[in-house]
Amino acid sequence: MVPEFDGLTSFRKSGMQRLRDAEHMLNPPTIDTQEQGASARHMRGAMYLCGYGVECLLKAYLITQHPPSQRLSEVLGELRKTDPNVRDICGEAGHDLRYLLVLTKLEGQMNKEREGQMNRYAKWRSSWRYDPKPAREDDAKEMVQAARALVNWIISLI
Amino acid sequence: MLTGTRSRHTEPWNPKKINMPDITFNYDQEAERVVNALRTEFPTDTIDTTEGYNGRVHLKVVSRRFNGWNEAQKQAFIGELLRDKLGPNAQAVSLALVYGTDEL
Repeated sequence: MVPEFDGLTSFRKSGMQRLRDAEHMLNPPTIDTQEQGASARHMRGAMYLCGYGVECLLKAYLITQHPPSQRLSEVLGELRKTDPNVRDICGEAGHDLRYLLVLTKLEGQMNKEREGQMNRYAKWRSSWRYDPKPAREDDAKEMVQAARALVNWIISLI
Repeated sequence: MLTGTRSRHTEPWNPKKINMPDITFNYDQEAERVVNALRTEFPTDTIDTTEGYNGRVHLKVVSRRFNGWNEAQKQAFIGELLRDKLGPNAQAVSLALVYGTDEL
């Protein structure tokens, strides 16, 4: 079954949108502003959403590296022709950013600055949506900034 | 000294790609070197590696020492430690994930 949002354009557009969502969540809250911990209320959400920004762009980049494919499921089929053990990047493995990094081969193009940004970012997990622990404000801001730099870099390569 | 060798350029030229040297590393050798170097600093903590692109090392360190540190502090510490212990061979480590036990 083909995933609902599987195409190059969807990944490129939604990646930018999720990153903007994350950046917006770094702003001071407008509801219950006097509540204890209000300033850090959305930090986990910001970190969670910015992860999808980079994930989507990595997937978009991967598609562009396998012309004439326009969908991730097509790329997966191509990759499995040469290596049947390639994990299902249209499923759970598609949230494994370190795995996507290997598949895209972008690791081979990263300088020290990019590696630093990736290190700020590489702890991201899709399961953070279930994490009730508030995130540190400084960590969240750094991670979203790193995600912005990475997204801009990947976009420039597409 | 770096032990990596340059891989052959097999892909069509893409003008949008940054022309960075695409080095291939011997993962087993580099991972062992990294773990041995860090083991003196973290004798009882978790040090784990997985293979990245072209033999690069993805490093994971879990230690109580990092409890309460922010990410910038953890990254600065591990980056300096790797450079100090490995010199130019630190280049083989492309990702370093540093966890306090308070994150588990």
